[in-house]
Amino acid sequence: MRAFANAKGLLGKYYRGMADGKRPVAWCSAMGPVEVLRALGFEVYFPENHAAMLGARRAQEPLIAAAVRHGYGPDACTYLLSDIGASLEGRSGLDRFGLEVLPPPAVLACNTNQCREVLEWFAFHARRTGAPLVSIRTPRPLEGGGPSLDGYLMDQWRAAIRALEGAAGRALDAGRLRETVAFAAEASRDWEAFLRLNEGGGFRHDFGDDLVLMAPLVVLRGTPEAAAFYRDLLTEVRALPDRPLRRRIFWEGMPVWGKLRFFQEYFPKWDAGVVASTYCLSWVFDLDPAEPLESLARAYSSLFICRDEAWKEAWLERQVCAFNAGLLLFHEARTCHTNTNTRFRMPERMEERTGVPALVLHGDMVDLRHFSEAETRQRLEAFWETRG
Amino acid sequence: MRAGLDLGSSYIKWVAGPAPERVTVRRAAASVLDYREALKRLDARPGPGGCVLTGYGREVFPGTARTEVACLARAWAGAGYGDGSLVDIGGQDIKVLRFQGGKLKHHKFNRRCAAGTGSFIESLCHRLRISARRFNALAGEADGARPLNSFCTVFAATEILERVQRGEPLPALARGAYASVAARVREVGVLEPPVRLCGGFAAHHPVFRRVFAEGGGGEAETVPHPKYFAAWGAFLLAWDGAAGV
Ligand code: SF4
Repeated sequence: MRAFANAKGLLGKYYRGMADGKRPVAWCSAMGPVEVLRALGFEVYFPENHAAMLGARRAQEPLIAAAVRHGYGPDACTYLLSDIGASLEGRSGLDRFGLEVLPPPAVLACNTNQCREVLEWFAFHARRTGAPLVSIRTPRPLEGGGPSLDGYLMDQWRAAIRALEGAAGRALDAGRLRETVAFAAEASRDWEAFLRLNEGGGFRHDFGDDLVLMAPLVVLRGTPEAAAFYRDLLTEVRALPDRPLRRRIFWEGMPVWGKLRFFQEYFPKWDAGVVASTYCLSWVFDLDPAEPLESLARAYSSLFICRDEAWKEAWLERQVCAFNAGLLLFHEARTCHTNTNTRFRMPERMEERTGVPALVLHGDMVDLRHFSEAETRQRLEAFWETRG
Repeated sequence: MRAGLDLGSSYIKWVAGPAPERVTVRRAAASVLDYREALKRLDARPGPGGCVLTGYGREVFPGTARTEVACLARAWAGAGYGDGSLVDIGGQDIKVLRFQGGKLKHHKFNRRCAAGTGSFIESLCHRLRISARRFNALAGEADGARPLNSFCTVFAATEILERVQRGEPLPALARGAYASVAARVREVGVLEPPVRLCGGFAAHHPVFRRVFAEGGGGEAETVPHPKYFAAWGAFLLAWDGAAGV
């Protein structure tokens, strides 16, 4: 696919753009107010993306150790631990993009919509760098809040915007915000259409592809470049034929970044493939440029990760059905509690509800000491040999 | 001759015979670093024809490989069992399989941790410098179990040593260690009776079965030749696929 080279080119340009130090850099959580930051003229850097890269390069172990030595708990999120460890050790996972040193933050912005960990994580960087920390405190799970909750969230967003304007030294331009939201909405819409090409019996891309191809949406959301990338991606993949696939898997939970290649080589041996995932579908945002602020507040508090079990189960049932999955594979990530849905019996309930078997794999998004290839294969193969 | 070879984390087991209903060889050897060496000691020759391999090392040799779950399910059917649950306590995992009418309906494994598996007791024996046989005999002598607080294999051994030094009876603590394993088994999955035990642990620690029943696990019976149950399933699969193995 041409899109892989395009994504690589875009990312290289993005990181090099940050290295030149021309524009102030805001550090933002993955589900933070990136559109607002862009509209205020910041370059935006994402520590979670850095952590995932450290994991994919398997550089995490000494960095996690450094953070634990510093006093963080070994069971804390290993995204947080490896990124904080990198700071403590003066290491950068982005050196191959010319970023030997991570760009210093002018401001740090996060949203607790995904987890409380991002707040503690960003607080570390705020203490270390002296940069101001702006946080939107979204409560979770969100169901049943009603108008008072909507009002609370709007207040949170307005207060965050005021603080970010202070850090930027300029007022937020309504036109620029609308434009940024429009680019983000467009990219998100095309990304979803791309993901849904695998619905029914379709199979044109797998989880490993998706995790690479979603990078521009993660780090360049709200830019015309990202919008153009997804437009081209969709056109390119629409023209591709479907590949035959016997065992269709829906992946629920975090990826195991250091084992992407293992899964990409292993699944085809069993004529299996991950046709869709909660993780990649979580980067679909219902944004409306006609009411940018309201839709941002709404979209970033309607994520899968913010929802209660009943909502998640109904959503998962629709996806499993739409993607015609024969197996719902849960990844129990040892150190990510909020994005792990196995702890309150969801796999069993999903199996009862849909009739589609559910299986749990144990691992972690970054720390490979919690993952075993042999055990993973044992679980999957036992399932395929005896049940399908 | 056809054969089943179970390359487990603690032992390798070899079952062979000239017909599906005639097993003439049942042998086991500790799986040390080199599987080949152990095979020599067993006088086992897994060839690409006539042998089904199972266990963690099933892909070390060329041939037809099947997971232990598939082999255990085959052995269950081969033994003529109908409804019920099979508990396999292996060196590094616990498997619970549920059957209906002889067919596998569900299976579950323990979470990723050696606590409560066969190696939990193995490592306790090692730290206490006693054999599995002695450990089992001690547990058999005790009137009741003294529960262990530690879940972790390393801490459990330290806890036993400390408590023995403080004057607590080792037999009751050994029985307590079995109770820990039983609790772990009950955690893995729902057990529909009749419950049957298999695996090396059930073979070497027969007192465990009693502790399991006392702790609320219900009566359980141990399958014949429990240590070889998966290898026997592999052997039967080798005969099922006589032409294709
Ligand atoms: S969602 Fe999970 S992986 Fe991401 S920052 Fe929060 S705890 Fe860490």
